[in-house]
Amino acid sequence: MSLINYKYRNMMNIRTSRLKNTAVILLEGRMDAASKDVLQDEGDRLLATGERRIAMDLSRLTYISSAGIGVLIRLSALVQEAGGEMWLCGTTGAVRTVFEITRVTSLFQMHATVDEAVSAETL
Amino acid sequence: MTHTAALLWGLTAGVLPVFAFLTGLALLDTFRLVRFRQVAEAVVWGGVAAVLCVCLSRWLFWNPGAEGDWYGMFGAPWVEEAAKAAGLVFLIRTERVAFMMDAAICGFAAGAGFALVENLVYLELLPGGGIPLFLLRGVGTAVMHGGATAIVGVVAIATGRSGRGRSLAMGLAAAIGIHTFWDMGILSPLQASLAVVVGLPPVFILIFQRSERALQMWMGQKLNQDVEILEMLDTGNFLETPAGEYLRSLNTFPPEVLGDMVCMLQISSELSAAAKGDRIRIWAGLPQAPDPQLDSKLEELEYLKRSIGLAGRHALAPLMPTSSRDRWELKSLQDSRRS
Repeated sequence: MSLINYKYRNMMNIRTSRLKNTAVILLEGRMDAASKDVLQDEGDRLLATGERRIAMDLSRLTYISSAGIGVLIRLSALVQEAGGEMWLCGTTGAVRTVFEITRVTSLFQMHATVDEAVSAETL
Repeated sequence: MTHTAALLWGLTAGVLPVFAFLTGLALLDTFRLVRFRQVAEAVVWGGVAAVLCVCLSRWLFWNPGAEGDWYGMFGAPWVEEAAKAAGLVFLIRTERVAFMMDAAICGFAAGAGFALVENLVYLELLPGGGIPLFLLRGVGTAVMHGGATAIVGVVAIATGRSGRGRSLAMGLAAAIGIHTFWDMGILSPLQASLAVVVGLPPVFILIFQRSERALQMWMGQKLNQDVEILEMLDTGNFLETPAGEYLRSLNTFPPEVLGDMVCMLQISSELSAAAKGDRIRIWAGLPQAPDPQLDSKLEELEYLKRSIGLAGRHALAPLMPTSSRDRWELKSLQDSRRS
């Protein structure tokens, strides 16, 4: 996997890398109302550069509120509009709870790990 | 001795004991519940209260004859104690003071500020009063002013905690009683000053010990609750717990609001646990460990409050009971961020 971008804002790190033909965005820390824009910008940047397969690695995300989920829903819609696919991978702990109670899991393709998502979707 | 030197010595004798006593109280605050700024503000309030009382008494009652004496004995204690206590009531009602210990310190500080201005007025009225007179005023009257206002806060917190009318009235009644007894002159100034110097420190030590026990008990219980909530959230199975089932039963709220309620539980518990950790570090004499995430968490908390709304916060109350002490803790965090 090769690192292609790194951003940091308000307790959230974003590392973008490439695995096979997929852009993998690793979110680390807390995605709150103040830090959500950095993901928005990164998603827009990837779409603008022609990326159409995006895996969001949420395994190191410890917090997400409706602001962050809103960004994920918007990005997912943009990727689909562009004819691509976006997967959410590795939700755990409180983040998983927030996804379940907000009943948005059906809006996304969810996978346990990035490897699983990339290999399943490239079959 | 020149006139100016006499004034300076009189002022020093009149205020030094009460500020030394206040410093002693602040040193007994092992959990650092009260910030220096808060003490300074209480002193300033006490001074303002004294100016208001002097103006009021001069305008309404000042008459060196018999009527003046009656005001001094029975009117002044009501007016002065109410004026000094007003600042303390504000601190309690706005949840900036939540324990007997901080109520006592802030109350005493207001009384010290009051005594400072009152002694300045006496210096103007009795320029030749001499150091012994002002020493008696400093040790006796000034400490009485501080002690009486401290008692308003201690009684209000001990009986009501939230600063409601009845508990405040009880505290104020106790302060007025002490002040009236003092002004009646049943004890000579020397006897009264000795009574204050000997009697007040043990009373404050008892109050502080009791307050410290209450604080430790509250911190222990709340820390357990916070850790329990965070552990439940960390497992990812929170929604299978009774707390999670309760949240799911709130299906009249939009799903995104329910999600933000989970976030509110998480952030509130994190902030609360971190604040208690800080308090324990201070008590143990360790340096504070500043939370680099504090600013963003407090900002996020405001976002969540707006997102959830008042009804949502009420619905969340059974999972996240918030007492005046919890709100005090949050205010302390916000104040520490500002400073």
